[in-house]
Amino acid sequence: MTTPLVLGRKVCLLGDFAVGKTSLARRFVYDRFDDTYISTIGVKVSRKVVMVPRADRVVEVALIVWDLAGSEEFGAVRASYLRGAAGALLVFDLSRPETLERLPAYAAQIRQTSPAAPLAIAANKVDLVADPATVLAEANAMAARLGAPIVPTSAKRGDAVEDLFRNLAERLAGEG
Amino acid sequence: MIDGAGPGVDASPPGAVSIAAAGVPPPDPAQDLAIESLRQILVGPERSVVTDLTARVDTIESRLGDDTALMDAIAPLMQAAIGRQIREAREEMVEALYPIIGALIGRAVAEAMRDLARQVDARMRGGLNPRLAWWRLRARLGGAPGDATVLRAMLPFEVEDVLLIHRATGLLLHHVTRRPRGSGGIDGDADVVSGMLTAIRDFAATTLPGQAGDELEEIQHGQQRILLEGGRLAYLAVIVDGIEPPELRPAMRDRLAQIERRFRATLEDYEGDATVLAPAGPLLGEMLVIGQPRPLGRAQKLLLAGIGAAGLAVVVGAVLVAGWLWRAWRAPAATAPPTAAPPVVMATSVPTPRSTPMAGATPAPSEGVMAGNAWIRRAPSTAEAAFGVAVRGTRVWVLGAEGDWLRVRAVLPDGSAVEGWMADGPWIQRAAAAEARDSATPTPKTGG
Repeated sequence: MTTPLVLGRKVCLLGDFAVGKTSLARRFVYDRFDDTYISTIGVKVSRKVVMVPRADRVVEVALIVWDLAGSEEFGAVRASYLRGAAGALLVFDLSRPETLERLPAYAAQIRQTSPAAPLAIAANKVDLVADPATVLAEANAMAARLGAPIVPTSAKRGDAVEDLFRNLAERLAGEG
Repeated sequence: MIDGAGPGVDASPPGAVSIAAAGVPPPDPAQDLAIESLRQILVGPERSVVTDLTARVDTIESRLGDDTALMDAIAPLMQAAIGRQIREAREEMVEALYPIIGALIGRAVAEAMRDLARQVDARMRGGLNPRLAWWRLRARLGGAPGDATVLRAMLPFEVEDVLLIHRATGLLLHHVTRRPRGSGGIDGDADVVSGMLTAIRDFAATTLPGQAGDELEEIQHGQQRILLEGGRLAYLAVIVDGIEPPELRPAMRDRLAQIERRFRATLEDYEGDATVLAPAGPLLGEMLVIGQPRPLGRAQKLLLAGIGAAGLAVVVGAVLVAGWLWRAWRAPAATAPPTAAPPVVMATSVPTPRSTPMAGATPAPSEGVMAGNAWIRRAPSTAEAAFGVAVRGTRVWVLGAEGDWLRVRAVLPDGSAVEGWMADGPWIQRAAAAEARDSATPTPKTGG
């Protein structure tokens, strides 16, 4: 049996204020630091390990998740936080469709520092919307434009959060 | 104006040319060839120059796109230019470089002042601490400067963890720690800590006022501090407890420079596989022992043991000599017989030997004066330890007798009255009344 290849990857979590980024991270990610770091320096770092099986061996992808504050006051420092990102999760709130409109701007920011970084979109708070079809249709179109898969998630119930991170990890693990 | 104007053609006004251009006949190949020849004659050299320049510009553009090639290309030129400027226009160069050099000098001076303050503080606290002597001895044995070692010993310090972190991504490249694995600290979380440290550095660099290139150098929490040393591709975070020795910072810079040189290609295009940085571990591990005393070698240990044994022998010898001197000082000069040997009588008329040291029955104590010196013992036996000396001239009262021993009370030279046993002998000169009373059984004695 071969030793798993361990790969560290920096992943940024982007989205408007209160779309549920931190809840997504907190639900499935190993936390060491307090959430107050987000309100003081605009970011908190945590870790999520995903095992990705490949033909010849298992790749252990250690996603070092940078949860970036959504508020504008950290706009100046956000560019430095995005530097070196291997991928990004863009999060919007299904119950607030206006949060979807900002995703292209976040995608542009990440493309500016890491042009080849794969993206994934989390349509969060699916548990709060009775009929998400309309917003999801719009989100799917935007996801197609951004070249990113979209996953409806619920940080509250845990729906599909694991799938979201797994999707990104598999793309970051390379062909193996 | 040139097109269509062959040799000998008069120059026409602008209006006439435009009219002729409107009615241009179909191109004539022979004429085109002639015009081309004319062009070649007139602008041929310029064309070749333009072609050459275009090629050169393309080369320059390609070099500009490749940072490494560009650096390689301009580095020698910059070096030569700076060298020449320093030789030819020193003052201007100093003025131009002052914003950079001034900051560096300021930082170096501040660091030197901190070191001085540390050393003064250490000397103040050192005093006559016995540990100083031990540390000096160890320093001498270890071949280290004594003062420096002693100063170091005064300052508690330990490197807890050393983290090598990728500058661009904040990913942990390598981690060495003093603690055993799984015993707390940041063990297991070093990658997350690396990310947060990078975020804090970025935050400080972006938000705090300062000159370009200023970086966060230190984070302090209680006695523990995180010392940061930045390089071009990576940076070091060293978690220390206490006050670091002056050699730590240079060691951090040195190790970081070595690692960046050795793993330059890997660090420039880091793919997240930290195992490729594992060979950097020993370099980082060397920093864990900075500030710690070097372990003694076998020869040094033997030398130390020899010194210890010799010291012990000296102490034992000194104790023995002191004991002998004390005994000699306390001992009577000699139990010399009285100078004028008086008639000696027994203190009691009925000596009754007993197995226990009890004084014999004596109707009344007889008084006397010591004509010589004699030991006073706790029991009537020379095997018993003496606890005092009745010197010549001491007044004694004979309370009883047993065999050759008298039970006496004496007033010692220090004024204390003691009771004990004294060998009977001519060193006791009894009062006349007692002599008369006891003369019935005179018993000369010898010894004492």
